[in-house]
Amino acid sequence: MLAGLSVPAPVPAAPPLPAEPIPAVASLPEPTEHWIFAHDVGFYSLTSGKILLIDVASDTRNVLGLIGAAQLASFRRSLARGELYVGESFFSRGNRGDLTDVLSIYEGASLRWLGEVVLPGTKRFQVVPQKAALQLTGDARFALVFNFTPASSVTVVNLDERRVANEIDLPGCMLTYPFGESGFATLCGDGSLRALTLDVRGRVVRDQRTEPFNDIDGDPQFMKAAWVGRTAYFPTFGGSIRPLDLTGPRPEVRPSWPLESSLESAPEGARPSGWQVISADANGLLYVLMRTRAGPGEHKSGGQTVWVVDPVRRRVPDIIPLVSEGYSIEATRGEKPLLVVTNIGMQMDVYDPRSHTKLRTIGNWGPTTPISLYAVE
Amino acid sequence: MSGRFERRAERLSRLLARRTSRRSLLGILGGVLAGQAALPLLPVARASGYPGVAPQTTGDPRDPGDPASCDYWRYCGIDGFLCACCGGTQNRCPPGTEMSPITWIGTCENPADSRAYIISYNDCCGSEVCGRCMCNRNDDDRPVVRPQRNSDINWCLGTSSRAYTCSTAVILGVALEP
Repeated sequence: MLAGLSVPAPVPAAPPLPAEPIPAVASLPEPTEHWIFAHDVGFYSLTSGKILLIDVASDTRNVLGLIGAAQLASFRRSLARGELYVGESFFSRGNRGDLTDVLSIYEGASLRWLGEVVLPGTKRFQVVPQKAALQLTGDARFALVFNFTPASSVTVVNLDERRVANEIDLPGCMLTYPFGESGFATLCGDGSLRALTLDVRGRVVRDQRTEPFNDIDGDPQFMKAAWVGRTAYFPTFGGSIRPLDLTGPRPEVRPSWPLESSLESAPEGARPSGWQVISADANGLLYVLMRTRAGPGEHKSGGQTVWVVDPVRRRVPDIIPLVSEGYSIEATRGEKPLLVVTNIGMQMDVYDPRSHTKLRTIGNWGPTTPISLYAVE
Repeated sequence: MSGRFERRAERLSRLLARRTSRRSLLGILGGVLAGQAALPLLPVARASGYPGVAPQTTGDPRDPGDPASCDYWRYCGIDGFLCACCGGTQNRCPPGTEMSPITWIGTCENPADSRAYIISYNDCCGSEVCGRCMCNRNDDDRPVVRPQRNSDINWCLGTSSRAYTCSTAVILGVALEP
């Protein structure tokens, strides 16, 4: 006998379970401020990446659904349009054959595929997922799909009409960042920033360029930014924060400052390190993933702490130690944000940033590599 | 990708390598000089060997180390799955794949002769992702704003397929005598 095991007694009086309907598909609940879209690049099978939708605040049923994201895809959600966009590429025979680049469109409320826009030229930038590879203009009129052949350009997709409106060459510049209501900025190899304004047809009506400010050889900016309003905060390899005010009508490069300068005793040689190394919450605080005693070439290794940064006062009011070394971070956007950390084991740790408590770990998803995280606005 | 661009890129890379002073080279001993290859991927320690991967040798005492290990000297700027673990070698693609003609050139020091060699990190393309022996060393990696120095990009460009399989490290020549 199985001594010691308690077996629930049958309930003879209860009616049997009813037959259940087939087919049956779950619906998404109403969005909460603690939803995260987690992009699994699928390093071990690049043709089958995916975007997982996760409720990081829930104690049960965290994973709410998923959509495909093939061949080093890019992702963006539009709150205004209620849609999800995936820039992705498909081979006609699965892993071989003709390549087609598309912007896939999903309904946000159901994860139902709505349609696609075929992108000409098979030039979509295939890169480890990052937010600046696919952006929307501030008015959500256009999607901006970055291209690299290795010549740089951006394909401008009119989302109202679901068609390509324009392609703009960006020689010497990489990736895009929303600028003003209807434009975008791009970072250039000489250390400058170019800011373009588009008309309603996607044509360039204003083209501005700053003086060089990004010391790419000495202390380069990461290409990842955290946004507070229309200001993008970029960390640098050396541990400074540089604000770029992209409100318009002119791009404004604000002075950078070293994070360590506001600390009396900073952890030794701490530098930003990991993949998605910076995030912001709805209260205007930044979160930066930091590696202690970071050596040269360790800017993608991951970090042991997350520094909370007040970018207005230029202070570091708190340092959150991580239970497991982090690789990518994202703060949820509610009034009481949670800190989501994809650790180097590719499991997702969820922290309360105020108490530093690790609340839960979400994972057990095989070779899934969710390294690009998108909080729901 | 046109052949003209490839030739120009190679000339540029060789020129850069030639013009690099001893002093700057010493400053980055063991590091990459002019670029990376392949996909970036996950943080993987520069450990010696991998579980479940049999060690290899080149058979040439002038080329020491294990090409199936991330700490092999030529891999100082590699970023991807090692072709030596996937049916290829440190300088050959696996059967049935295609070597990308677009390369980024690094400089690695050979511990056997203390010479700095110019290493070309060609990707192999056209099959599935190998998934074996992930190796990510970012010694002199720069953000993608400088693509010729960045390893986050799928460098299967100029090939008939954009499908990334694995990465090699091919000797182009000696950069500087010790």
